Amino acid sequence: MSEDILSMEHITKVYENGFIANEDVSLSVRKGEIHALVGENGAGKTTLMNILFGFIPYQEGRILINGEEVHITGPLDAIEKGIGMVHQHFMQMPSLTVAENVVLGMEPVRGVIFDRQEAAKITQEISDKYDLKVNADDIVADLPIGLRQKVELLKALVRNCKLLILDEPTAVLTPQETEELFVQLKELKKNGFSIIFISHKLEEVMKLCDRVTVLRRGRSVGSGEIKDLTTAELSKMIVGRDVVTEIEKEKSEPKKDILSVEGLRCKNKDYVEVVKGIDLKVRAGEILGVAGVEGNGQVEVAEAITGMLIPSGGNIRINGKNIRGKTIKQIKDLGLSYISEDRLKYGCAPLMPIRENLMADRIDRKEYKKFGLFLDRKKIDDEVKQLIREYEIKCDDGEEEIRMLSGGNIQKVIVAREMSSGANLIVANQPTRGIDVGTTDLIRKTLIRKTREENVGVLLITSDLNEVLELSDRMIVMKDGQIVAHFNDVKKVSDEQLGEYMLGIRKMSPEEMEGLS
Amino acid sequence: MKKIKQANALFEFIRIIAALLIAYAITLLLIVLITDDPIDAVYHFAIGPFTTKRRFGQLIGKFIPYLLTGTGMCFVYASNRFNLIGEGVYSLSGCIVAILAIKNAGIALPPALWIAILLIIGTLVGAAVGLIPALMREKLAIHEIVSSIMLNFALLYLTNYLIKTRVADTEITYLGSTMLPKEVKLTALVNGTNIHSGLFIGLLAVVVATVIFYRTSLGYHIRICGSNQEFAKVSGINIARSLIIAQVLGAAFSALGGAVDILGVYDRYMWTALTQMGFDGLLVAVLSKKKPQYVPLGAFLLAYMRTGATILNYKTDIPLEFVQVMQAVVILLIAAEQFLGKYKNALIFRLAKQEKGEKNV
Ligand SMILES: Nc1ncnc2c1ncn2[C@@H]1O[C@H](COP(=O)(O)OP(=O)(O)O)[C@@H](O)[C@H]1O
Ligand SMILES: [Mg+2]
Repeated sequence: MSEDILSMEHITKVYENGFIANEDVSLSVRKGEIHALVGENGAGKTTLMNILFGFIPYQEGRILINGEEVHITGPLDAIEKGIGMVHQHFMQMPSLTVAENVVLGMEPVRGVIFDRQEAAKITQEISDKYDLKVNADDIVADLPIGLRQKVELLKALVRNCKLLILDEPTAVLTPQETEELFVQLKELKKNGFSIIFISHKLEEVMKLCDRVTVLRRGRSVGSGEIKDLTTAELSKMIVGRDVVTEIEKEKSEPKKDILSVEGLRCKNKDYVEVVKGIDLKVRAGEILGVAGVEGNGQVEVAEAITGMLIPSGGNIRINGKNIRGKTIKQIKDLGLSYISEDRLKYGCAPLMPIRENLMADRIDRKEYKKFGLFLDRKKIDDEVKQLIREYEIKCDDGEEEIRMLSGGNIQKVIVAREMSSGANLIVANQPTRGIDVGTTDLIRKTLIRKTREENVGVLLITSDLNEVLELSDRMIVMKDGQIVAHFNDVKKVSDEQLGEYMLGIRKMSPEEMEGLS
Repeated sequence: MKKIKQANALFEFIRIIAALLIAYAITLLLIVLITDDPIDAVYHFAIGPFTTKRRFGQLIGKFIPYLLTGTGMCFVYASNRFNLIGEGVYSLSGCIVAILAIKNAGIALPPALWIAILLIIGTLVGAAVGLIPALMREKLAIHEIVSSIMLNFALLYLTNYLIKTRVADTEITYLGSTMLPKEVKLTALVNGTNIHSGLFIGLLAVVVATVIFYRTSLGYHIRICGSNQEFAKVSGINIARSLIIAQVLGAAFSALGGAVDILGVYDRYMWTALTQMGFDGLLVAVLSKKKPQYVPLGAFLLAYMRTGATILNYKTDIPLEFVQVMQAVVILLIAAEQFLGKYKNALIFRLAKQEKGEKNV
C-alpha cells in the first residue's frame, strides 16, 4: 500500500443533469509506474481525471496521495500536490513562445519585468534534462501537435509534478510522434515519475504500460498487471459483451444501392489523413455494420457522408446523387438521417424543450405551417405526442428541457427524430453507447424494423461487439483508416476472429472482400 | 426524472427570490449606514414610485420603452449574440423621427396615420443600421460586441450633428431640437403623467415577439442556433440567416422603442449622451430569462428600481450611483447560473441516486 503514490477510492460523480459519469470507481497508481486508464469513449476516464486535477467536484469517495487523504480544491492545488495534467485539448496560449507558455503563472522576473532570458533558460534546462527537445523561442501556434504536447509536459515538469496525467495523448499524434512520446515517457518513468496514461488503443497500452485499470460505463471493471494480460483479455474487458443478447431478425433482402462510397479519403482537424481510400455501399433493406476499435477513421467516414467534414478525395453518392459541394441541408434532403455519437453536441440542444428537439430538422416544412407562416401547433403537438408514445420517451409533456432527461431518454428523442424524418439512409454512430438496456433494445429493434419494413438502409458504426454482430447483415472492420475485413455472412464470425481484425493482427486481401462495393 | 425537473425549477425560483432579498438587504444596510434618516430613504426607494400619480407615471414612462428594447434584446440574447446596437439605434430612431416631425409640422395627414408612418420609419432605420454589425459578425466574423459599441458612439455623434444642423433650438441653453409639434404626440392615457398610448404598442410588441419566438419556424431556428450551433448545423438550419434576422429584429424593436419614447414622453429631442435604454433592454432580457412573454415582468422590475433610484436621488442625500450598484447586484445574482448551484447539485445528486435505487429494486 505504501508504495501507492495515488489512490482514488469509491469515487462517484453525478453531473448536473443527473448523469452518473463515475460510479464507485477506484484507481491506484504506484510510484514509478505507467498506469493505463482505458475504456471506450464516454466510459468516464476524463471525468475521473478532471476530479483528480480538481477541475470538477465529486460527490462521494476519497483521494489519497502518498497514503494521506487530500482535498483538492482546484488545478493550482493539484499542481501544488504534485499532479500535472496534459489535457485532451491543450491549454496553451498559442500566440506566446514556448518559454512563455512553460513558465506561465510562475514567471521569473527582474524587478517587476518579465525576465525573458531566464524563462528561456529554465525551459531549455528542463527540456535538456528530460530530453524533451523544444526550442524555447518558438511561437507555440507554429508548432506541430507533437511538440505542443511536449510543451504541456514541460509545463507539468517545471512545476515539479511527480504524477503526470496524459489524457489520450496519442489521439492526435502520428505514429512516429507516438514512438517518440513513448521513449520519453519511459525515460520519465526511469526518473521516478508516475504516469497515468489514458488511451483506448490496446497496442499502445500493451507496449507502454505496467498496470491497467479498465472503466466501462462509469464503473471500474478490473485492473491488473499488463504482463499477466493478453490483448484479447484486455479488449474483452473494455468492449466486452456484458451479456450476449440474441436479436431476432428476418433475413434481409437488399435492393438498390442507397449509399455508395468510392475511394474516400479524409483528413482530421490536424490535417492527418485518417481515412485512407475506402469503398463501400449500403443497399436498401440492409444494415451494414462497421466494427473497429474507436479512432480508426469511423467517425470521419460518418462525418464525410453527412457533409460535416469535407473529404480530401473520393466520391459519395446518396440515392444516386453525388453530395460534393452540397450543404448539410441539401444532403439531408437527399434522404439522410444521422444519429451522432456525441449526442449533447450534435444530437440536441440541451437547454431546449423536448418538443423543439424533436422538430428541429423539419420545422420549416410546409406541412407544419398555417397560412405559410404560423406554425400549426396542433399538428406539431400531435406529432410530438405520437413520437413520445412510439419511442417511449419518459417525460411529462415534452415541454421540459431535454437535458433533464436521462441519457437513454435523450437518445430516444434523437432516435425518434431521425427515424421519423422520412429518410431512407440512416447513419448511426454508436447509437446505444452509455444507454440502459431497455432503450438499447428499443433502438436496435427500430433499426431492424426500418430496414425490413420500410426499405431503409443503415450504416451502423459501433464499438459494441454484441451490437455489430447481432444487427449487421453485412459487416466491415476498419483499422487505421482502411477496411481490413468484409463479411457477407456475419453469423459465421466469432468474437475472436473479429478481435484479430480489429486489433490489426489479421487483414483480408481485396479478393477476400468480395461484395464490398 | 420528474423530481429532478422540479428540483431545477424550484431552485430557479428560490434563486431569484434570494437574489432580490440579498440585494435589498445589502442596499438597506448601506442606506442605514450612510444616511441620517434611513427610514425616510428606504421609504422613498421602496415605496416612492407608488406614492403619487406623477411618480407612477414616471415608472410607466420607463416601462413602455423597456417593453420594446427588452423584447428586442430577447431576440439578440436568445441567439447567443451580444449585439448592443439597440443602444445606438434607440437614439438614432428617436432623432430621425423628431426631425421628420418638426420639419413636417402641420402636415395634412390624419395624426394617427402620420404617427404610424413616423414609427415605421424609425423602426426601419433601426433595422437597416442593425444589419451592419449583424452582417459583420455572421459574414466576416467580426465580434459583434466591439462593432456594435463602436457603432453606438458613431450613431450618437451622428444624431448630435443632425440635431445641431437641422432642428437645433437656439432659445435654449443646451443642445436640443425645437418643440415637437402637437399632432405627433402620443395620447396621454392619464392626464398629467407619462402614461401614454405607447403602452399598447409595447404590449403588442411583446405579443408579436412571443408569436415569432414560439409560433414561427424563424423563432425555432433562432432559439436552436442560440442554444447549440453545432446541433443547428447538423439539423440543416441556415445559421447565418437566422442569426442575422435575430439581430436585425433586436435593433428594429429597440428603434421602435426610441421612436415611441420620443413621441410619448418628450417635448423635444435632447438625447445628447447615450440613453442607456438599449443596455437596459439587455438587462430586461436577462431578467426575463430571454423569454419575451416574461418581458413585462422584467421591464416592470427594472422600471421600478430605476424610478426608485431617481426619487431617492432627488429626495435624499444618497447619490444615484450608489443605487445603481445595488441594481447591478440584483441583476448579477439573477443572471449568475451558479448562485446556490452547490445546493442544487447536492439535491440532484441525491435524487439521481434515489432514482437509480428505485430502478434496481
Ligand atoms: N458536463 C457534463 N454534463 C453532463 N454529462 C457529461 C458532462 N461531461 C461529460 N459528460 C458525460 O459523462 C460521460 C463520461 O464522459 P468522459 O469522462 O468525458 O468520458 P471519456 O473521457 O471516458 O471518453 C459521457 O457520457 C459524457 O457525455
Ligand atoms: Mg475523454
